Amino acid sequence: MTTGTAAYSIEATAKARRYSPFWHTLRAHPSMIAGLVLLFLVIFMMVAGPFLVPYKPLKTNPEIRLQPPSATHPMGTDAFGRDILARVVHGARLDLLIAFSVVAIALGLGVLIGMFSGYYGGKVDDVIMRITDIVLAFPSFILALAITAILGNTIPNVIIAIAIAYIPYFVRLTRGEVLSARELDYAEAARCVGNPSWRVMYLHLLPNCLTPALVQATLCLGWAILDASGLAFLGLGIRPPTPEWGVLVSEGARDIISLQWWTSFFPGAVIVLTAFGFNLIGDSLRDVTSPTEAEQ
Amino acid sequence: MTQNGPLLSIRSLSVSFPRRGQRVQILDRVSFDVSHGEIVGLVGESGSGKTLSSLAVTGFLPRSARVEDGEVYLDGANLLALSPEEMTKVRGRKIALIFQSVRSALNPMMRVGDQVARAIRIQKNARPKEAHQEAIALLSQVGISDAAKRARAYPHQLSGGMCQRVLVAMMLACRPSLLIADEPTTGLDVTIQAQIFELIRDVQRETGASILLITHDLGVVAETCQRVIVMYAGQIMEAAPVDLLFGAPTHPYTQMLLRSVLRVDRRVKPPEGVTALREEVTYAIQGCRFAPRCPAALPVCWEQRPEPEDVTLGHAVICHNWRGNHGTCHQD
Amino acid sequence: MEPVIRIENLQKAFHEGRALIWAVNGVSLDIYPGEAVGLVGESGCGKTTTARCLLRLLEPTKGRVLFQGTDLTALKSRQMRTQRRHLQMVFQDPNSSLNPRFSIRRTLAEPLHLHGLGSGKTAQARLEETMTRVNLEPQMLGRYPHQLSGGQKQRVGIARAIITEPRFVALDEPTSSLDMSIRIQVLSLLQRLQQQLGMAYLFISHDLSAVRFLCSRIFVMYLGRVIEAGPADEIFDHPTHPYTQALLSAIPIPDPKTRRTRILLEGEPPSLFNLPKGCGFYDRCRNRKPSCALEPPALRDAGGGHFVACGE
Repeated sequence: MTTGTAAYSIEATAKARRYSPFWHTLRAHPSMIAGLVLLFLVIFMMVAGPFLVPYKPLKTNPEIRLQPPSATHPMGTDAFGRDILARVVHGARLDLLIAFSVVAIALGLGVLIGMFSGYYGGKVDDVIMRITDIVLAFPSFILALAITAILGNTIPNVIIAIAIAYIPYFVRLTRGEVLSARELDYAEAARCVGNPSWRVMYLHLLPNCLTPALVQATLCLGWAILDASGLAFLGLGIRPPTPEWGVLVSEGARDIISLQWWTSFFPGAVIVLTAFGFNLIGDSLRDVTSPTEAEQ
Repeated sequence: MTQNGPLLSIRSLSVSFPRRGQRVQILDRVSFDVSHGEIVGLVGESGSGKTLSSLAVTGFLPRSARVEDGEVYLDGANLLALSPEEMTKVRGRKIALIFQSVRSALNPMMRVGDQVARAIRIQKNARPKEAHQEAIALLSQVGISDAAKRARAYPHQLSGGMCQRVLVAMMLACRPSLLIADEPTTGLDVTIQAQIFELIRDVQRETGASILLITHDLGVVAETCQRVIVMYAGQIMEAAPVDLLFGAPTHPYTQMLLRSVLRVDRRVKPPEGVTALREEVTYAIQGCRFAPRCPAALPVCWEQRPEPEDVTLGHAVICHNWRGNHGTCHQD
Repeated sequence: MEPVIRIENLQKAFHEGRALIWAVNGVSLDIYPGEAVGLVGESGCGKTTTARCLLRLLEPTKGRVLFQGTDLTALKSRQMRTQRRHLQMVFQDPNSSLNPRFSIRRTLAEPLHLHGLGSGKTAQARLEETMTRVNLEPQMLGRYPHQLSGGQKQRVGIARAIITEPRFVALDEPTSSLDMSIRIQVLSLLQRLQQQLGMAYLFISHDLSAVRFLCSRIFVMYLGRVIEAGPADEIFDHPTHPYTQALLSAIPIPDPKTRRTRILLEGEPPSLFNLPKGCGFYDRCRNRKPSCALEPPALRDAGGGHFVACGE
């Protein structure tokens, strides 16, 4: 009720501290560190891999087909004699490209739509929310599958399909933030000073409403990898011989019966670890930015 | 006033909180007494530590707080040395607390009549039906019209003023020796505020309880309190009977407060000169924490905490320079 | 002299589910250039809604608002935005009235930019001048709200309101969130600014002692209507309407030597969902007569610019 800058005031409600010291936070969240480590490994693999691994991902060599992991081929070779490590390393590039593109589109469009919907309310908001609900009713993978089937089997279409499935999450999250933020005095002050609505929405409110969406974006990066690999596994989107992790798993699946486990195991493990890494980061971000955590 | 010694005696209480990895001593050697049947006002602005002091007395200090030193005696027993179970018994029987945020003090899932009845049953072990009858009587006594019907309401169905009255009814049920009221009328309209304070005064007259009234409103203090204690940044600055505090304020902080006070019965003149609006409250000073803003500060004020001195009987001031200070509170 | 602001029979209704609440029920008032007018009342009386309708931050349901002769309620959004240069507001809570992500410089420069009042060097000079006017150091322009104290933030809010040199500023409880010792300093500042820049103020507050400090005329509202109006000193010293009398007597005086008889009101105001047909104060009024319940009394002239809406 009263304000002053007391160094401590228990009457004041805890405000989220926006600039908590980075290392202090990091130390308190081992999961964040683990996630960042995993992510770093994947990116390292993507960037430095092609230079460090002497084999070409597409070069077949039937003499050394289906060799188990060894010193010369740490992940073994597949049915065509291609080095699996090389294929995994090159696949990283593709998967990460897909993941980041998907999230960029979903985040960008979702936030814009959510902002608009939350700010204006009324019938516009109702219509947008109903459409969002309809899209959310479908499991994202099934929806992406359907859209890819309709649009055609190319990488851009896979990206679009998955992004469409994710957009509603960002619309919802942003709209939620906007509904409360637009009641705050600074939003009203922005109008009072003479800002047109679009400036109030996108210059004043948006920067303050992004946090949950950004947390969700990190999680979506992980999901996108799973969804893209899943689609590729089913033969949609990306096809062999392109070394994408899902494709690799699919190719290796038939070798399991003959007990050659490494052909699908390693790509699968990389998928899981990457998605897991993003999840860890996303969860820690959510903890760090949620109001109770941010109170000291 | 038949007992010997004060009802509540806080001796040199120091409480610290963690801040940025260090412990900051927020309350610094706070000492004051409340006698039986007395209404004492604890006055200060935000950050003064007044709410924290009340939490220390009632055992509601947050987990991160640590009592570094001092004792809190209620009727001779040191409250800080009690176990949580023993403290729970003291609360409600001997001490009652009225908060600022009225609605959060009441259980939102329980009808108000039931909450008052429950307080009665804890006190007296009465049977549910009798407790309920008495609850209705109490609600009526605190000025809630149509008490039998209102008793069936939930807190969210009542206005802020009504909820505050329900709290007072619960307090009446407990018959505590000490009532601590922390800004009890925050957020309530002025006309409702007047009603609540009238009610509190009536209850005090009837039960003879002592009241520790925590507030920032000097008008309320002037009308309701018999003695006043002024706090700033976790330290006590001055303590005096109400006429002396307003008539002859001695501490530079008290004088500053009184110079800044606005009145509705006449037009107040703006204070001259000083527009250096330094507001930051720092707890890091060894001596008197008001020194950075004090017009009469001496070098020793920063180093060493002054000892309490008596200006006259019952009027104590904690200041190195109170004799040399020629400040006044008058707004001419 | 022409009033700078004229409100004619303003009414504002809100929808709560199916019901209609008339938060403002026929308010008319004039504000002249350079004067400070107080709009007072307790919670639910409609004063905040009136101010927001005045500035068209809320759309009035009925009635007109004239600014220097122009009917604001008839303007399109773009035209209204142009008028906003002269119609500013200071908000109550300094913690939420500044965008936490904007530096002070950005918050203050924006009005100048929006109204074409300078950019670059000329804007810089104006920013510094305005900061100095509100007793803030120009070095603080680079800071962010969380680095400032409550009083400092409030002064930034004031700076934002005056930087375009408006003719009119609405002050919505500007000191209610501030500590005692800061309150009078901010009010003095507002007074000085008014003298320097010749602005008209509408001071909305439930804190009557702050209103007494700053205002020369006041309007007292109850349940969406103005029930008493006139020169501030006149109303404070000789209130005529029973509600005003009770309201003033309820305010504690910070002086133990002053003894007053207090008029205690019974009960609470009627709910806005269920407004009585006659005078809104009927059920709590000591002096009520049967005729009071039939129709809300009109404002009648009690002499000397003092108006009261009461049957007595």
